[in-house]
Amino acid sequence: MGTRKDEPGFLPGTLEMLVLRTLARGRNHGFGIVQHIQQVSGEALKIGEGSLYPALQRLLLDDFVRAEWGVSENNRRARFYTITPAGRKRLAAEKQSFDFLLAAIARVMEAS
Amino acid sequence: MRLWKRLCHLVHRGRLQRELEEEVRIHREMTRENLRRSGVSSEDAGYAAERALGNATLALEDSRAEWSFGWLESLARDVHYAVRGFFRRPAFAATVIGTIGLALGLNTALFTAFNAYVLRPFAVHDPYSLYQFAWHSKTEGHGLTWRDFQEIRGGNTVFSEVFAWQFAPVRAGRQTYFINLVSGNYFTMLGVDTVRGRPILQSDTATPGAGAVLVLDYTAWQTKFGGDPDIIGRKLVLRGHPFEIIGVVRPEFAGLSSVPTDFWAPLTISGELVDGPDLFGPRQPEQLQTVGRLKPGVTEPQAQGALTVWFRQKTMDRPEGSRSTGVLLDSRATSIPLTRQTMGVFAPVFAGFALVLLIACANVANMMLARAAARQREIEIRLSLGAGRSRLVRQLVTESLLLALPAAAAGFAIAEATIHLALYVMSRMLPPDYAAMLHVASLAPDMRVFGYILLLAGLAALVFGLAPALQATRPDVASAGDRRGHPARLRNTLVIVQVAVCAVLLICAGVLLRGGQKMEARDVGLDMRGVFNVQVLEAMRAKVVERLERDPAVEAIAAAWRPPLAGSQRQIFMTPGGSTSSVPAGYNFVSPEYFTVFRIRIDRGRNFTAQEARAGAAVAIISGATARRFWPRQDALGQSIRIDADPAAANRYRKLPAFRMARVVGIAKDVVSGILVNDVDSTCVYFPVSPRAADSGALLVRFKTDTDTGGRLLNAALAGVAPDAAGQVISMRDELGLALLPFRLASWTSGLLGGVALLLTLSGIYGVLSYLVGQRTREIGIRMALGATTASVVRIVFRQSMRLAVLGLAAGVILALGASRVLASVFFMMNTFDALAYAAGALAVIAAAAGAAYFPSRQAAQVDPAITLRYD
Repeated sequence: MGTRKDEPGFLPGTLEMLVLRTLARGRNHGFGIVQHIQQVSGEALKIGEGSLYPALQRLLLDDFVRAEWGVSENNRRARFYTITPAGRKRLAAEKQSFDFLLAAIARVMEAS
Repeated sequence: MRLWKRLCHLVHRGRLQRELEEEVRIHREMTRENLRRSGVSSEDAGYAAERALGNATLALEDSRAEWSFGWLESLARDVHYAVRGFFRRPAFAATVIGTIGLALGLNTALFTAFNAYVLRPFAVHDPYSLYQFAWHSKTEGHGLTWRDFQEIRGGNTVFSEVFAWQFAPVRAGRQTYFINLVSGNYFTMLGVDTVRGRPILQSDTATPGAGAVLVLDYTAWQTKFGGDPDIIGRKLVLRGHPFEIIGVVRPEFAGLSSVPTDFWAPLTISGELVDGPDLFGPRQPEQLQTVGRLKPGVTEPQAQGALTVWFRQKTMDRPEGSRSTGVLLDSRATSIPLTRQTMGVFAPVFAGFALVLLIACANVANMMLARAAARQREIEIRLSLGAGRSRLVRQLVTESLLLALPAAAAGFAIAEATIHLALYVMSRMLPPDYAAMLHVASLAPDMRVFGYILLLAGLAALVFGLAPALQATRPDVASAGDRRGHPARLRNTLVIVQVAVCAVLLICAGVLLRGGQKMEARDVGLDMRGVFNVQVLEAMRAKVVERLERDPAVEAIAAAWRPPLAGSQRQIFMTPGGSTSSVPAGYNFVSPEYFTVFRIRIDRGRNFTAQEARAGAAVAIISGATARRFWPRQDALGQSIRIDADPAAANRYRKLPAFRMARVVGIAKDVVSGILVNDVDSTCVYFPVSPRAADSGALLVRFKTDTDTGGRLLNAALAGVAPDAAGQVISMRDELGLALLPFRLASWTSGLLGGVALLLTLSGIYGVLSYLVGQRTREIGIRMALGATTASVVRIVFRQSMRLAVLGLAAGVILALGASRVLASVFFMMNTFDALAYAAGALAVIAAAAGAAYFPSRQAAQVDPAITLRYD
């Protein structure tokens, strides 16, 4: 139920994978997740809240992440997300199929 | 799991919503702070943050949507919104529900009857494998003899089991009981058991003459025996023979017969309850009906083939005319088997009813269109705010479905009322003995009826809801300014369709009414005033005749093997003297008084003499038509007729002349003695019989008084002879009424449909015209300000009305001409191209269109230019 909306240019489900990967490093809040993805991707991937929060809601709904209110590094109230064991399993599965897909695309692109 | 979380979310919606909002707000602040830290001014940072993050409301909306139930929630919102709308405009909702409900009600009433007789299977074990079978020769149908039954039961390849039964009406005092005499395997084969006592078993039918026991029908137990709890073991005397009631059948089962059954009795006791030759004697009558259960895997055509061969072999050694030429095999799963022929009769009726629903839908569609036009701004705003078209259409169709549901409920109530009214009217029209037959099949609604009305309501909702919804949400309507052209065209088309369908129904109704009238007015050639048909028991015949002859109120007593209007004429092959070709001709055995009783003039020659009647002499009186047909160029009087039928083939149901040659002694006036629709007999040869002779058939008694007084006198006289002296007694007046019943029913039904259609069409035209006037008020105001007269304004409205009516009428007449062909195949004796019916139908439609234009035109005429022009 509910429609899945992904940032244009993303493959379906990729945003969730990136969020899970980020959270796998440790718990973080929404802004932190965006920052991390942006920095690591070398400013290539900018995520608006219009996609981030629906994606987070989906992950919550599927029990891949947990959320609780806490205090940020700047002493600010923020909602922190933690990856669950189910989320880690999901991440592994997504990564595997993503690698497979990338390899397949690469093979097609490089075939002469 | 996800569902559970969604439900939790739903419960804590408010808190979670606030949390999400706060989270997004914090996110924004963090972004702004971050930007500020990198040197952007506070204000610019704000804008940049907004830009970077996009539409906050939409983000929230989308996040929320992840938790929602999707379409279910939007459906709930649509329902809520629609219901609120209906309560705001109750008159609109009530009109829709009433209009659709009425049409649904009529359709459901028809379906309830169709379901009861054609669709609902009997409450027996595996009804769909049951088949009734009989065979026919060149001229008539045959039942089976007891011996046939025994043989086919033991040695056939297609049926796993076969039972036989015979129908017997038995009069006891004032009560007539309908009894089914059944073979001993009947109840076990059908898997029917009893609520009290026990059913008839094989042991009851061990030998002919055995088994003076009765099993009672549940309804008969309740109505005729007051539900007596001590009914088991009670004795009942029928025709002087004591019977013991041994069981009451469970209420779901009321027999497989086409008349209501009061009792089941063992077939072996037949001799006590049925007149005529002994079922088990040397000359066994062909009067058993047989029903077999097809073996698993055997198909209907296979069974048909096997039976055809069986009967052909069985009758091979018989004379030409009485050999089997085919087999009738009909499903006994329902009262009326669902065959192509059945559908051929029901299809035009269903079509007629469906057309009324179509008109109702067109009416409502027009109302919905007008409403949609009023809501055009709302719809436009929603479309321009980005609402999906499919979402809006879904909402509008939801509204239609919501109206259809209460309409179905109203329709259900109307259907029940219609059925009760129809039963009441018919029971008043039928003679009491026949009125009981209306209750053969239970007309209580079942799942099929509920399913049908819901399906029909859903279809109706789509028809009247979808078109306006699509029309109202057309993207070009929203963007471009041209808003008036198309909806108006759709509305006009709907009205034209309505008028056309209404014209078809009215013309068909006219044809049927005129046909029925013609039938009522038909001169059957028989004077039936004060004449009664008395089915008398053979043992009582002499006593009854003697008693009635002494009665001073009785003018004459005649006997007739086949009384008039009691079914189609029987035919045998005859060869007119001087000819070599044998032709089938109708025949009857009547006493000399027959011509007196019915006032049939003998044009030439003479009547039978009393002596000829007593002796069954080899003389004949023929009808005028027969004389012209047999001897076109000669005088028929004194000619001879050769009878090409073996007297030995005669039985109780097939009386044959005992002679092979007969001399024509008289020529009688032409009359209708067969079925009413067949008109006067094309051939009719009367042979003499005496009222006192055994097996001379029904007694026809003419009283000097009127029919009602005669009836009372007759009943008193019969009661004086013996309480069970007569079988059925029916006045010829009632018999004629019965023969006319199908025509009356057809006329009334079509009249009712036509009337309802006319009413709906009238209101449809009215609706469109008054909407039009409302829309053109400004234009009319300007016209009037510019000097147009009231009359010219009225003319505008009338012209519009007539334009719609004439277009619709033209289409309707063409359709009616097409429908006439179909109608002609069902009512073959009617003039389906009756000019008067067409003219009357057309006139009614035009009058309705003019009537519908009256009020809107008054409204237009009262437009005050001063007020209208100041409006905006």
